[in-house]
Amino acid sequence: MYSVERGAEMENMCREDLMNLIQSTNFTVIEISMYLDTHPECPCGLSAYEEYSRMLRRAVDIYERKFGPLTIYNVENDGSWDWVQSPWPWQKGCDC
Amino acid sequence: MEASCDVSQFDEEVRMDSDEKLSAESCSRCENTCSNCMRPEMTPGGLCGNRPCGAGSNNGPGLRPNIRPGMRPGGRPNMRPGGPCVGRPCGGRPDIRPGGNCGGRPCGGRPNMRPDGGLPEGWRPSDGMRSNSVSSDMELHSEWNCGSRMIRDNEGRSMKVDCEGQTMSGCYMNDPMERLGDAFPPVMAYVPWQQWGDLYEPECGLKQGTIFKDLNYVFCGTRC
Repeated sequence: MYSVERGAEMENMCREDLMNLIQSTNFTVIEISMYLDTHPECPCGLSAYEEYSRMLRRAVDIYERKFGPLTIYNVENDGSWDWVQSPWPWQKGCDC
Repeated sequence: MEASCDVSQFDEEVRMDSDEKLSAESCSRCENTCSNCMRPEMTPGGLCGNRPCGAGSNNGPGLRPNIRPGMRPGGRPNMRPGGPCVGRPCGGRPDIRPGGNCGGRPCGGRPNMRPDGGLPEGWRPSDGMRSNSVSSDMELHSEWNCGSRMIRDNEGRSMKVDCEGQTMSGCYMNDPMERLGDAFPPVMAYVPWQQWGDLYEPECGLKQGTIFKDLNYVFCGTRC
């Protein structure tokens, strides 16, 4: 589950580890969302969704701040198209 | 809410299905009579309907009427596609009836499927019960014997499988599904409602293909 300690740990993750965390957390959020499709009132499912979606947002924020945008929707144009200036999210390139 | 139990209404509908007046007499040929509805029982190999065998049957004199899809040994149709289900309570089973509501019939009267998928006790396969087609792009061809069989698809791939089609009369069918034939209604599947349980950590869940421990099964054909 997401915690303050896990958030601090994310700050120190390398690109590949953080990407793995994002992918697995994203999968978890999707899994829980599908469970909630059929159990919309389940408090356990709702709680887990809240926890993991918050964890995912936090991980994405850290990743994009440190390593660049994950999607073209979050590209910040500072005079150049950064999307092609840095490795794409799916490219390997662990710096750890 | 449990549906009303209106056997008489059901019986009336069955009678309306026939183009002739139906008799509540026992079948003179099979001598079986349903204790509930006083209609002749459907017997293995043929449905005796509600009339003496051969009396006005479309199959000609001396022949029993065809088994119709949805009919069970008790002599009543399990399902009435496109029409309402009338009769007795379903015993709490899901209300699934194509094109109609479930007024409720006892599900206990359906054929007793054996765990191994074989025919119910007392049933024997017959040509009339076999399915003549395989509704799949991959048509299976089989060479059958009582020990094992070889199946192959249209691309020439073959596989040896153990014989599962043995009953008291031995090997009798080409395909485990074909042995069900037309004597049973179309499938009604039941999937247990998932309950919240333990989760894997995200990294583990991604590798397993599910975060729910309860759903993590080994699927033959992929990971066996």
